[in-house]
Amino acid sequence: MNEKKLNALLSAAQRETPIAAAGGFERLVMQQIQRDPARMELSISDVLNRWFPRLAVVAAAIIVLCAVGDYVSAGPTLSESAAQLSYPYFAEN
Amino acid sequence: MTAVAIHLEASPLGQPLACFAERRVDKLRRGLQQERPLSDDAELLKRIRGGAREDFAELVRRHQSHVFAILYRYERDHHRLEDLAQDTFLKAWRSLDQFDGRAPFQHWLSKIAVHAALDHLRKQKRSQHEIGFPELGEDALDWLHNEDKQSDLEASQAREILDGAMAKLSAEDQLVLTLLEIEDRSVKEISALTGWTAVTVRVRALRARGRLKKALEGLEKK
Repeated sequence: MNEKKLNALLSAAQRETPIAAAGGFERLVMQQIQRDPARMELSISDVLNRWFPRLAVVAAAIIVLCAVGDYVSAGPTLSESAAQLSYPYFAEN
Repeated sequence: MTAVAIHLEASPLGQPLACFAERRVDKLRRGLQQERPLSDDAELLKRIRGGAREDFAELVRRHQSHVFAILYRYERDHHRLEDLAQDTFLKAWRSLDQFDGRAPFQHWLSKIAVHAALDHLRKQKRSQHEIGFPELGEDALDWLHNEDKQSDLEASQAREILDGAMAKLSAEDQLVLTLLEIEDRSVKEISALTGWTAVTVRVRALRARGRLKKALEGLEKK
């Protein structure tokens, strides 16, 4: 097949008239939406899923900030504080 | 413009010029449709987001012909085409929150339609086992076998031949050829619709055209 013939074939295909939507098509779409209201009713897990990446980043940032603060401050270290807090519980046993 | 096309058809230069004029008219019409006041759709979308879900029907009414005009190139059967269009609007509904309003709603919807078409072509390819070339009508076969015949091919016959050859190509090849060669879209437009880079579109289109040519030659030999 030569280029001219291929071009003639493609330009003939361009002339095809589109198929129109049948009357009441929008009603069919709305019926589908009624049956599948995924957008309107989000479950708790959907909301958590949507927020998960941001929540994870914020949580990681808080942990890093705390760790840095603990390292920089002159008071007892995190492990010492944890040991002090847990001492009464372990001491009883 | 339409009058110009009619006048040209009667002139000795005949169909090629008339065809060209018709395509320009189509493009102009498409352009005018896209220039629908953005605030109209924006207003509707605001209402839908505010809870007036029944207003989505109006949005469907406004854009259904545009969606059908994109999808009918990929599905001949009317019922399956309707399913595909419904699927497009359903996807738009589900991801309405992601529409940021920076581009016209129709552009965003076109992207969804093109991706729905690509998914549809991929599904078709998966379910399609290795098959031979389909049976063509007598006129289509006659045109294909005659070296001199380059015009007087009807659109439906052209589609018949192209469908037969395109079935041998990958879903991506079919999509890029349809958008570039049949819908006459620019590389930039295709890039925006598919999410592929302009270079990818160009390379894919070039290779797909070569593969289409080979498939057509196979059809000729048959």
